[in-house]
Amino acid sequence: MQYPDLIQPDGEAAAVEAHAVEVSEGASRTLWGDAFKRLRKNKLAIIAVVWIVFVALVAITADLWAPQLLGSPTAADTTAMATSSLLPPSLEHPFGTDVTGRDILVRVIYGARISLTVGLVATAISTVIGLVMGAIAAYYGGIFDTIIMRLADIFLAFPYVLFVLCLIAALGQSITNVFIAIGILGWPSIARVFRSAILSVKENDYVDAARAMGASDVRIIVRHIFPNSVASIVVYATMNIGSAILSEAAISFLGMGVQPPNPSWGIMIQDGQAYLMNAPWLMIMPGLAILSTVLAFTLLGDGLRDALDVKMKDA
Amino acid sequence: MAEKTPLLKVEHLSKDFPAESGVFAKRFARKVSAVNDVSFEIYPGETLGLVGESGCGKSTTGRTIMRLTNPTAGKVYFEGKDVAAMNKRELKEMRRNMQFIFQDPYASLNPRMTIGEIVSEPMTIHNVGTKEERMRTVRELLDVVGLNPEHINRYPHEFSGGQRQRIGIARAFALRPKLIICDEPVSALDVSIQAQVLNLLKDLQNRYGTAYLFIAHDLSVVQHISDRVAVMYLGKMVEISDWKTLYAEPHHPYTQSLLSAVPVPDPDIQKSRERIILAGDPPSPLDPPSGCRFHTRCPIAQGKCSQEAPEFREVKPGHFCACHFAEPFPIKQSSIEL
Repeated sequence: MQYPDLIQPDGEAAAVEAHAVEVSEGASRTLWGDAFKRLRKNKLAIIAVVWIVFVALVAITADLWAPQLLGSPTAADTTAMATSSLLPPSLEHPFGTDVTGRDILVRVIYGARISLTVGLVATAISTVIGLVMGAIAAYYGGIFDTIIMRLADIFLAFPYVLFVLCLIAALGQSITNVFIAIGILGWPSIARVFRSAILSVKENDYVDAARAMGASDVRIIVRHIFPNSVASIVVYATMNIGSAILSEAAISFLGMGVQPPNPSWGIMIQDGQAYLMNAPWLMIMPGLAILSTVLAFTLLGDGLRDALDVKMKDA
Repeated sequence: MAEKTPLLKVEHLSKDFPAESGVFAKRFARKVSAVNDVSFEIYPGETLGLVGESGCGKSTTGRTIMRLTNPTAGKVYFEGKDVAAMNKRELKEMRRNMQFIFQDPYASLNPRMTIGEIVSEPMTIHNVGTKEERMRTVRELLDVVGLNPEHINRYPHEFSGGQRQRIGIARAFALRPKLIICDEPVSALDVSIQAQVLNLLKDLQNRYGTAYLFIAHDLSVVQHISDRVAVMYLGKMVEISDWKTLYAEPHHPYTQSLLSAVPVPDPDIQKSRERIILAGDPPSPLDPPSGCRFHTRCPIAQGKCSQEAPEFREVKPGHFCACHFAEPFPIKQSSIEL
């Protein structure tokens, strides 16, 4: 008899496992491919994507058709003011008109340009700063980690709107500076999310495996850590677009953002507040635009989070 | 064996981890002594099994040899060169000849890389061959480890645990290293697959003449593959010998109790044989016992044991044991037939 032993030396004969546990046939899929498949099954996320694409297309192509159809979004001519001031929604003006007779719909469409741009540009700025800060903090640790994370805590401790207003006041009032201010103030949360993602990925054996092979720091970060932590950033950045849009609306509402007569959803709400009682569409229409767009980005972010979760493989 | 020059020589290796950190850490620093004064040698082409219970420092020993963590004290010589003193370039060269197989086949493969990318990565890092040559080698390796070379473009999550471990093995062999540190390569697999993976490792060793440091907590697994076996307890090496001697005449009471705990697939022997059951849990490595680290649980401990740490002495040629009262343990021959 063999020494107490669970292993048969002739285990070769039992080598059935290797191909027996064959994976389901079909083309090999990447994790991103898998994620896309799962995302397609999420109805809310698909509605969100459709809405965002629709708003973006309308905003991008606005110059080609909107002014011809609905009139200029900015011009206030006196005849229009006299004849079509504060008209309720109708076939001719689907969203109604404002006090100077401008069509609300065309202003909402042009406002979408500002909102989507601010969402993307500010989030891009936050993400770039956040990624670099988060990566340094997590990968090098120690004193870098302490300094960067305490700095992030300080940023988060300031009252947000006040901080943005101060920053715009300091940089000078322009729409570009609104982007920059919102972007700069968004980095701490992205840095935190990315830092924790890297910290958990760093613990994985495949990072040690790469080191054991003799891989350089750069290779480890680019090939192993980044691809495995980027999912949480994609999710977070998507949701951040929504909150950047909200911030711009708030800043413009407070009069520090886009300047009249240029349209922005925040400014339109501010314009409308005086007529809340007799012409509520002045506020409701841009309000609905903000609500639906921000909601769409949040839902898309939620959907992406579920879709990118490796643990929900077979969903 | 003793005539040859060792491939790997570990001398008085120790590794401590700081147990507390904080404002006053420097002053009241406590440390976990994970590995304490461990010495052994591995010769080209042989397998040294390293066993011990969880937390005894086996894995830390392996990781320190590979310099995934730096040793606190002691030396590791690979082909005569001190691993701890190597610069980046020398370290990279050393890693070409020393590879690692991980315990967890799920965590050790990057989920975003294809099998081809994973297995060829060591060659990419060390600039071996052209891209086509590397892919050809990958296909050969996959074939050798019993996987379908057609699966080169699949991702790790499409494979089972046993298959993933084969991928990890293919990766470790990509550069034809002289030494592979196997850190519990089969303990995450179920028993029927363990046998296949062990046989694969043995085949590959015969084919390429690779030496293994085979870390495990299961004596029956180690017995199957090792030329020599070393036993660790609480960061210390307690016994080392060729496996036949160790299994037939274990000298250290800890080794004896480990062997007596291995189940025998025969109910009659299982019922009648003597078992040494250790009392209590292993002591905390934060505060290891004085003298012999095993004396708190040792069935033959005497006064001397709590005061004096036993020397790691040669009880027979090639058989070292760290016990004041080491003597062969009369395991009933009926339970072990070698």
